[in-house]
Amino acid sequence: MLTTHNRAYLLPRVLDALMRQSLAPDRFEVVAVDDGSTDETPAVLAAYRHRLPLRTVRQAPSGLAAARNLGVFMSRAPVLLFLDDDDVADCDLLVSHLAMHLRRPEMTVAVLGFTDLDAAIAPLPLMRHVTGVGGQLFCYGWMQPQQGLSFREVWGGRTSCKRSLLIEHGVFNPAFRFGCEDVELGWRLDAVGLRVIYEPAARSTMIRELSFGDFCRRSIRQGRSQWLFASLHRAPAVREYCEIDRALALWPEVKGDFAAILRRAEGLDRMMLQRGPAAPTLSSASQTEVDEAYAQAFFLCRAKGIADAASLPPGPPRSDSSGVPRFAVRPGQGMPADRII
Amino acid sequence: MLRVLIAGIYLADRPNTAGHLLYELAGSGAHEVTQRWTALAPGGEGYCDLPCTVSIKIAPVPKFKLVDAVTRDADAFDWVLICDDDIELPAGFLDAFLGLAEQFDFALCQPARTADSYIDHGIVMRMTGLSARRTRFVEIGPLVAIRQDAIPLLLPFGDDCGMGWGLDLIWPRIIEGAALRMGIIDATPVAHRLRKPASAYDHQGESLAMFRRLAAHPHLPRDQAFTVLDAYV
Repeated sequence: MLTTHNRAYLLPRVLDALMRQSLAPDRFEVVAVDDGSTDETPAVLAAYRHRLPLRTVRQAPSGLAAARNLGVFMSRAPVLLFLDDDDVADCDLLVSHLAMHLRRPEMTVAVLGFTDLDAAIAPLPLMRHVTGVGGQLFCYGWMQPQQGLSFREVWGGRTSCKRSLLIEHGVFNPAFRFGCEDVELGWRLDAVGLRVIYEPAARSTMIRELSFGDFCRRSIRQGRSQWLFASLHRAPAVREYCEIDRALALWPEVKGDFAAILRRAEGLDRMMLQRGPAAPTLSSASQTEVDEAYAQAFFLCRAKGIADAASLPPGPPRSDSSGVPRFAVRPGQGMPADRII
Repeated sequence: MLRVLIAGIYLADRPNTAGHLLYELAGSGAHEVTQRWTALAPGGEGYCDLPCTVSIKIAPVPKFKLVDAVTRDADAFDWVLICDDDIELPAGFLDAFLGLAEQFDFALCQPARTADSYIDHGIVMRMTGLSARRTRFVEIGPLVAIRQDAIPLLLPFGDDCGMGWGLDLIWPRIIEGAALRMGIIDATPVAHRLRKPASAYDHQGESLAMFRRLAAHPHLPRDQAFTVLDAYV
């Protein structure tokens, strides 16, 4: 299942990779959900309609969770693999996911695949940080093959599961337009026994470069979603995962310096980019200084997102009641039943 | 003007939204609406004097038996709506909902539910990016609309239908077998948040009855039923 929004420039590489799968085309289908793209996405998808077992569906822009829900119910296969529109599948990606599901046929078993960075972006200092020592994007360093993982590792663009698990026990919460939609679903499925198995043979490659500004904006949105996640599920494990208390404690102290902290980190990022990949390796102390600057900047962006969301007036306990104002139910004042009878 | 029959049931002894529903449905400007509500008042408790109350039951009677009782002349209507008493409607609901049902040629349909509703089956939750979906599943409640050409296929439900569990897996076989279409309308969602579904009756007995019903009738397995066939922006 491929959900996409305004990434027409990347889709040909993503779809070409699906044409090269070792799994025979009659053993899978691709359901592409276009989340209201305004670029050439519909035309690109149409061009692949006869080259792949591809079905496309379009919705008005509603966010990642809503798009994935539509894909879940449009799909027919018993196993669903969620793909991002900036990840290129290795030729054995599908067969590796499927093999693990055949080995572990229990409905509650999901599979996390491995995602690497494309060679063109792997040397970039920011990309290296957020997939390495920082781990803000993804980080596999601590995982062992076939290791059992928790709801925290339900990572949307690289996870597969049985369709029956979702249709029987819960789909994505459409209130999450970006960020946490996957982990929040994982948290709910954890209650019915979700087990996530790491399968590094199921490989994909991220091909989209994120700039410093991109990652700051992403982190702010992530923070807002984390506040929503923690508000929906008032469990200590969720609050801890989302680092709500740390963020709310830190933000008032540093918000006055927020812009300066970002400027400094951005300056270091620019300096690292100018050095280029051929430059000599930084000293350990200098590399640590750069990594700490990134980590501080991105955490503060998340803290800003959390604090911004926390400052809003409390909404309904669950989202999307739009169009249906709450009707005030009052005890009836009418005639008792026995008198009418 | 199309004729619409509302077959509603309300629990007289519990908080309900029947008054709100009566008012909203009566406000249709594009349909001629006939409302027939049945009050369930166990032991004679509760308030049963809402307008359009045509029957009061003081002993338990299964929902679909009550619906049968007020839809004997259903074929005289263009649409029959079966309505529970614990939902909230957006303003102008009926005309917008049935307008979309006609537009997408659904013979059996229901409004999607807001995400803050009680939801047993995720497929009925509103998909905010869509106007409607053609589906293989329309849940037995809280609001179901049956078009004139599907009325003889689905009504009467019969005395053994009880609370109707499992009918929503049988309906797609019937509707698709007649080359008709069914779906969920997302643009006119209803909120179903007053009380949990099936909170007012015996789960175990209904569950047993459901399996007997499914054994006796062709039906879709759940994984096939929970499918969207087409989506409309």
